[in-house]
Amino acid sequence: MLKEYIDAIKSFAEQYLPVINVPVELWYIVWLFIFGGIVLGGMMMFGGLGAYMERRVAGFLQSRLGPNRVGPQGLLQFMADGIKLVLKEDLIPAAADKILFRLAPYVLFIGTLGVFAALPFSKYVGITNLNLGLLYILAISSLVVIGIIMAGWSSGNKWSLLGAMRSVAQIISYEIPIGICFLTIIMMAGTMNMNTITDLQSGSVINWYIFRYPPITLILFLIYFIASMAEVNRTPFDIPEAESEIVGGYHTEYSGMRFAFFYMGEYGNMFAVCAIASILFLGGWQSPLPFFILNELFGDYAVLTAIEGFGWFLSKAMFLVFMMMWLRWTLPRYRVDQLMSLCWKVLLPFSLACMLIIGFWMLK
Amino acid sequence: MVNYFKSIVVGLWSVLVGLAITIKYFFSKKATMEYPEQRWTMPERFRGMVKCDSNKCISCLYCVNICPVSLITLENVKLDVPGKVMTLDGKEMKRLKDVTKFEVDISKCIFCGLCTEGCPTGAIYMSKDYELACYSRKDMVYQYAPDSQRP
Repeated sequence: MLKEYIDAIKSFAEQYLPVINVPVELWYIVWLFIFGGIVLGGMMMFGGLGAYMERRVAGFLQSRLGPNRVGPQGLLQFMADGIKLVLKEDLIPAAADKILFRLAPYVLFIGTLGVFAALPFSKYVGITNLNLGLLYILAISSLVVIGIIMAGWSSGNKWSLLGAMRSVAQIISYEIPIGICFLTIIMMAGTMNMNTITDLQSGSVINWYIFRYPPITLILFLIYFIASMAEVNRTPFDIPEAESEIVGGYHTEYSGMRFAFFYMGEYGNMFAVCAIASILFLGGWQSPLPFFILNELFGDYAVLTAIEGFGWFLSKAMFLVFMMMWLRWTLPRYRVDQLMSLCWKVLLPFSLACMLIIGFWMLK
Repeated sequence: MVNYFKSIVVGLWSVLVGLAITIKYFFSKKATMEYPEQRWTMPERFRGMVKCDSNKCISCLYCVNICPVSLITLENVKLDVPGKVMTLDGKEMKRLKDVTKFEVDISKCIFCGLCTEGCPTGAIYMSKDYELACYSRKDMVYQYAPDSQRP
């Protein structure tokens, strides 16, 4: 895979950059840094804007306005919050395990950021084109659990530890329905490559995987959506950070920039699972129409396809993010035992049944 | 088994009902009033800050005596030529004294409105002003006598 990439960049460099005589491998590294920087910046941006969006949506759902003073419509609120967090005192509790305490936010953040490496943002746009994209995502997103339990353990605070343990129990349980959803998609697509999965859903809405085997894949999508909401600790599944029970859970003791990292990790994670859902079930960057609008208007340019594809991808993912916020401000929090029984008694049997039915359907 | 499926269907349905309720508020008119730009109109008999028109005041000391917390200080001089003021019930009244100092320490005020009830000329009244915060206690003492009359 790496070799193919290097070859592609080599041909690109030979074609367009003949003047600059540097080894092509260097180009690859530079390119990786540039795109990694863009994704990192974009994710941090989403961390801020997601928090702003959350507050705004919460306000609107509760007949309030939310933040609307800083900048146009309050859009710069996240900058103000960020500056406040940077200027805050960097506090480490005396009882904390100092090294782990410092490491935890970055582990969590890296786990979130790693997911973005395998996402196809648009046609031709993406960091890598992994053969085992889905498996990689399932593996790297488990780092988040390690980050959370590190934070909870090292804080030296019983509430944090309780929150971390709840979180680990929850995420590990809910990874099973998610894994089965992934398996079903892999069965349907015959590949783990995210780009290929997206390509297979081209055409129009009818070809999206959510409508492939009519009611079954819809149920599968619902299962994935519910389980991914539990994965990223959103209400109604936010018992790891339940403010009213265990005062914020694993990030109780964090302040300043480390807290900001937790926050960005949370919102980045939320965007990541919504992006995965949109790629697996809603066709990723594929247009819901049988053609791309910009291509139809201005001719068959690859750039236009990429831009419009990115727009579709972003709008699908953001719609799911909005759904998550909408659900958050509608439903109350589950109890721990209710949460577990939902996972093991409902989601797991249903996802297994869906997988079985789709398997037989494909055999037919 | 029937109960199991029934509970799932009922649960999903109740989530949908909840979502429908919240989205209605998303598009409805917001209850928030954006305070410094928009304000409530106060009711007619709202008792805000005590204010005084010292040109109407006849120095009867009614308000000074009745105030439960004694927050009004009043000083006056005798006028050489008595003026005239209208009372609230439409009669003319001689104004023998001129106010040189009319001080209201609003930090003590309990907004009972007793001072305004007996004022014959309606000189002292409760305004609809409710933004009384300031940075020092001295700022809370308001002077209502005109500057020229102050000694």
